[in-house]
Amino acid sequence: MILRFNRPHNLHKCNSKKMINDRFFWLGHPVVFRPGETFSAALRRAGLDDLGPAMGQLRGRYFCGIGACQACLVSVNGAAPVEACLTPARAGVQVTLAAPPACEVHRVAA
Amino acid sequence: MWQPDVLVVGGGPAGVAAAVDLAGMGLSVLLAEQRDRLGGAIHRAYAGVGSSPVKRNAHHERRWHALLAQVQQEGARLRVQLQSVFLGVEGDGRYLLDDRVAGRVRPVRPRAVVMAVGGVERVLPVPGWELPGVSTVGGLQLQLKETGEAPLGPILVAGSGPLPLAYAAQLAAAGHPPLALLERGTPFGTALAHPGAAFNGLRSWPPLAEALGYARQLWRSGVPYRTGCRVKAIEAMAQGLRVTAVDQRGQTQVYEVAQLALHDGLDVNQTGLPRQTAAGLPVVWAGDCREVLGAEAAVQDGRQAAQQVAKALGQPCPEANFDDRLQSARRLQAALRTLYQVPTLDIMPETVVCRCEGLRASGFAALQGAGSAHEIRVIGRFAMGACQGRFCARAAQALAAQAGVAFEPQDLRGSVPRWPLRPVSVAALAAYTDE
Repeated sequence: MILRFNRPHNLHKCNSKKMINDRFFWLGHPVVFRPGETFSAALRRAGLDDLGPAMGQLRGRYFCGIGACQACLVSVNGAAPVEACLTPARAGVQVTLAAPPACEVHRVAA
Repeated sequence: MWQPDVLVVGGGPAGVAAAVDLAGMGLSVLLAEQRDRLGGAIHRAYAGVGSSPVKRNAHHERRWHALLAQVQQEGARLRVQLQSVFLGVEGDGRYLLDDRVAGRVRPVRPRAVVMAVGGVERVLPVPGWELPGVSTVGGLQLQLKETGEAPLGPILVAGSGPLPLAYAAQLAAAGHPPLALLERGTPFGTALAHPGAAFNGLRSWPPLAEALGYARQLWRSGVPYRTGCRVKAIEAMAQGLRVTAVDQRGQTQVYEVAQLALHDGLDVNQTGLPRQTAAGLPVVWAGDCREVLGAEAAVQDGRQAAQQVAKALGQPCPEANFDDRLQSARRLQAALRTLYQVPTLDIMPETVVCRCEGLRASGFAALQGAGSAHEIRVIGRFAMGACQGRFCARAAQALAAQAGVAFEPQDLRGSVPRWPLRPVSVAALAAYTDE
């Protein structure tokens, strides 16, 4: 049996839209956020689950939410990597994925 | 620069309880927390205006607000440093904190240390668990607490234990019920087979009442709770995920979702922590990073750690015994482990084991010459990624055991902590001062 997206989903129940007006830029595109929330909370609300190509042919993405898995490392205004799940969003900054896709794993043959 | 008597790392229930007690004993305390607010995962603060739309355990909330009030009362003796990440320890006992507000690494030279960094979720590897849209239940739950909003699109909650039940019920209460809650174990059948464990679970009334409340919420929202059912594979579609689940009779069911929440229990989190036996400087681990006993017990464990530190420093402190309360939490956790016991998972060859570098289970075939945890790490690169083995060590250990190489999961991480524990900018290191 295949279940389709047919369940009524009551998204954004809270009156969040009124309160959101700050924005940062993900790969140049504006992403709105509410003061006090993290970059990853805002990215996920914008439907940006896939953060782009990362190491080992994987994708940058949110996973653990506590800085333990290091899968959501982003660069803010070109700076060194920080966890999107820990870092409070700031207005006006440019944010990109920090995991270098070109940096492939080099394994020594056994 | 001001130097505290005690450095406490981690601003969840264990760390805050330890810090408050230590300050109350007259010691100066620096409490370092990686986030911009105290609370840890359990008490993640609502970022919206007004009160959180997500219902929380009232008893836990009261206790937490009492602790926060105590932090305020201690004043200058207890300093809280937010957005500061523990990186490691320099040879001469300087604890390095990455102060991400100031943009520089700060050394701390405490007389004692409490490490209370919290636990980590266990997630068993299944094909596709590395895809975007797949997150841990705890990770999604703390975003629900923080934003007051459910994730976008249809969601499936799967895995094992009480946390998926709680999260599924919270989603339903927020008006966004999951398509289903899949539980790998068979807690009801197990309760009949192990009445002792069931009895021990029943003795702990508050958590049981909480679980019944969640079950009622799921029932009212019409969320199916399927026990003995596990996720077999996850595939990326043009939009969203196709999740194939299989039950005990081998019947499969396919769910098309935008989000999949996975959780297979909680683990201690000791990767990169300075050892408790460090010569000279007393170091005590507290809370779920030391032993997974839950938020309630973490407060007691933090207070116990404070007492141990005070004794080690020769500071007078009130005598208190925390054994009974920790023991009762231990009994409940043991009962839960029995009730939620699950069959071991066969790891398919194509399954990604290392989520940092994309190493697959099939990569183990190339490691036939590797005869130890050390060789699997150095040659195979398992546990060498940015997460330092937090999410692959168990699977790598299971795969190695099948190949006849026996070791404990923590052995894969090696005996020397890999510091810095987190990425740190060269600019922050260059701004390091010892004044």
